[in-house]
Amino acid sequence: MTDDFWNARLHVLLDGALQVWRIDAELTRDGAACVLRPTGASAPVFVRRVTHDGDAAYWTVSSESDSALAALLAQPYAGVQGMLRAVRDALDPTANTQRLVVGG
Amino acid sequence: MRSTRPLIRSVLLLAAEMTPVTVLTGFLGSGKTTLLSKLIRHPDMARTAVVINEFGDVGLDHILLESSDENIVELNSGCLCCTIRGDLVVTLEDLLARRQRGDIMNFDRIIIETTGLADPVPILHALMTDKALAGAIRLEGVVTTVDAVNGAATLDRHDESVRQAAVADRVVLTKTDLADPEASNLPERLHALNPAAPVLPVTQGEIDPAQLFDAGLYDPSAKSDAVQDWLKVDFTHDHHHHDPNRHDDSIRAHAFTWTQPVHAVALTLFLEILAEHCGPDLLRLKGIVNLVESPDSPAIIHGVQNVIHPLLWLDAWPDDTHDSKFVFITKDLPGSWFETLLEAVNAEVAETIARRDNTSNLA
Repeated sequence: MTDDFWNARLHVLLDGALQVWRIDAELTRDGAACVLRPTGASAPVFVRRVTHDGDAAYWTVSSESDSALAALLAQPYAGVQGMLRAVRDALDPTANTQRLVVGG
Repeated sequence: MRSTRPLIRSVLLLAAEMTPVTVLTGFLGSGKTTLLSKLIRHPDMARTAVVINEFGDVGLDHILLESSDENIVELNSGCLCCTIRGDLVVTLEDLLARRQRGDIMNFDRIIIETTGLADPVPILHALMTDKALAGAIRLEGVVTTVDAVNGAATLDRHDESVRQAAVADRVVLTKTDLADPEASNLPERLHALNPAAPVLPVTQGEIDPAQLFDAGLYDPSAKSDAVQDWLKVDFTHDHHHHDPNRHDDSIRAHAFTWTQPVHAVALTLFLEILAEHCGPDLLRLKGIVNLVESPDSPAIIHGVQNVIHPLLWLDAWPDDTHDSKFVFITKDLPGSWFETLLEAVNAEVAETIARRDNTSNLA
């Protein structure tokens, strides 16, 4: 898939995720990155998909807020699943999340 | 992946050995007990155990059923969905144990009648996740009664009734001899809430049990009613009618068709993400999925909140369009997000597989 594919999908994906999480945030683009500015918070969160020729693509989630959050986010995420979890943690660290249970 | 078929067959056989449990729900006065009373008199339902949940210390439904059948158990210390889920599990365990010991008549089906105010979702959650019941019972489906006289008004006023109809596998439209449901637009409204559930009109609770039971997801035949119901769903748009005065405004049904085969890993990731992020707001999820690894045998998925049934496979596709189909019943979740998410996850997995294959070819 091309970078254009992912840039377009990332915006739609995050826009829907904000609704799922019930989080008010402004979602804009800054080049290839999506920028989320939660209502009432000063530090935006940046989400990018990074590709290098021949290497596996990965996601980065970064923030200009305090160092603890920046440290938490300072790692590449191999997939959409990890990226979404990191974005939600950045926007709403107290959110209750569940895990998949395979039941009868 | 063909090598998985013996395992799949084993899972199906195991499922067939488990006692099917049907949850019968519906708002106060919607005709649950009348329906149940007629059902348990039908010869095909002779081997049925019934668990009745009523508010208050003195239950009446047991009396209304006009039966002293030892296989009828009352739970009247509260509401199943609120406080006595543990009691339900204990009751079911006890029923199964008494059957094992031969203390009661053998039964091959359990019906749980909820209170009229019950939210069925926590009950389904409990039935699907309890370790003590795992392997002994399987949730076959939800039957919801909605009455033609007061059904529309009840949907307007009571969120519980909306959730009861939204998660149903079968909606039984009762009291159709007393009022024309079309006059209040009730069938259309129920279809908008839950497009995959057939709406079955009845009078005085008279209905062939075959229309309500034995149509579950464990039938490996592609001709099962459950699968055929899938194919009748309009997968082209959200089934959400905006009217802020209605309780069902926040309950949405979203159905979509997916033409590309889905990688098994992508489906797993998709379900994990839904469980993690949607959780309690994902009331029910059903799907028939064309997996890359099993193109001739579609997988059936079925979930409640963050709990998903083990995948099951049909022997063959029920029609010529081997497209995946999904139906989501949610509380105020954006339906289009599901498609975007599946597309992204599947594309990511496809990229990874392609890169791995290229690397293998170069080596």
